[in-house]
Amino acid sequence: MKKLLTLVLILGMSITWGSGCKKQNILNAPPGVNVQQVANWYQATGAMLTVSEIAKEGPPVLLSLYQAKAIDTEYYVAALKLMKDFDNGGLHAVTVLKASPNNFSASVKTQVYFDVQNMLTAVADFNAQGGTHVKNPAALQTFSELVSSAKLALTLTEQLSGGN
Amino acid sequence: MANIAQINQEVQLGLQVGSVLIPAISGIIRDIKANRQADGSIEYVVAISTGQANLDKAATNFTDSILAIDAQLADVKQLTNAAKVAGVLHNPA
Repeated sequence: MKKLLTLVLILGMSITWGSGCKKQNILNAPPGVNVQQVANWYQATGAMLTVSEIAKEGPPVLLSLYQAKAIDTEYYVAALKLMKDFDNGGLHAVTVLKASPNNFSASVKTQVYFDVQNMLTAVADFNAQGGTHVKNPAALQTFSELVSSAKLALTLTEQLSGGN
Repeated sequence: MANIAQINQEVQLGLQVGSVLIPAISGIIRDIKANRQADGSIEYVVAISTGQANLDKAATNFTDSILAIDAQLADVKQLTNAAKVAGVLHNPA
């Protein structure tokens, strides 16, 4: 949970793309690939790694809430299934990124953006159901941190893949 | 000037966070530099390790999470079935 709190702290702050980026020139970019596309690819891979690390924290967090009887069985099962949707979206986005190394082209952006939208939908459903199913304030706090971290990390990828 | 191999080592993201110092995320953030702006605000430049190796790690993380979810779903199914046999509901919360 400490890691999640740290991520919330960092990612919750206003993120300004580009304003703090050091300009770098690429000497050996593949033909037809510009510097920005390469930079976006690397930024997207970094964002997806962050998202995946948060995703990995999800199942044990849910299990602890379930074992503490802070959530009922119905919601536990539903939340796990939503998490699996989330993970499958992430896994697909990673596959797309790996298939096009060093190049965040329009096609890659479109595919990653689609995956991120699906992942955000899963997080929104997860959050909406959790609000009524999580039983005590401490558990709700834990749950909220997980949701916030996932949303904010996904926003990183969404901004990139949205074509900004 | 940098080539792709060098850029492979780090990507820099800019975070405008006022005067709050950003703590490092283990394994992701390589370096943080603070630049004071003309208006007095501080801009933090965060170098994040990225690249193909990170994609492999991300894929492993997602896969591990899916395996954990499948195991947990199997456990709860087993418990629910056992509870049905015993005539009680599991974890009514």
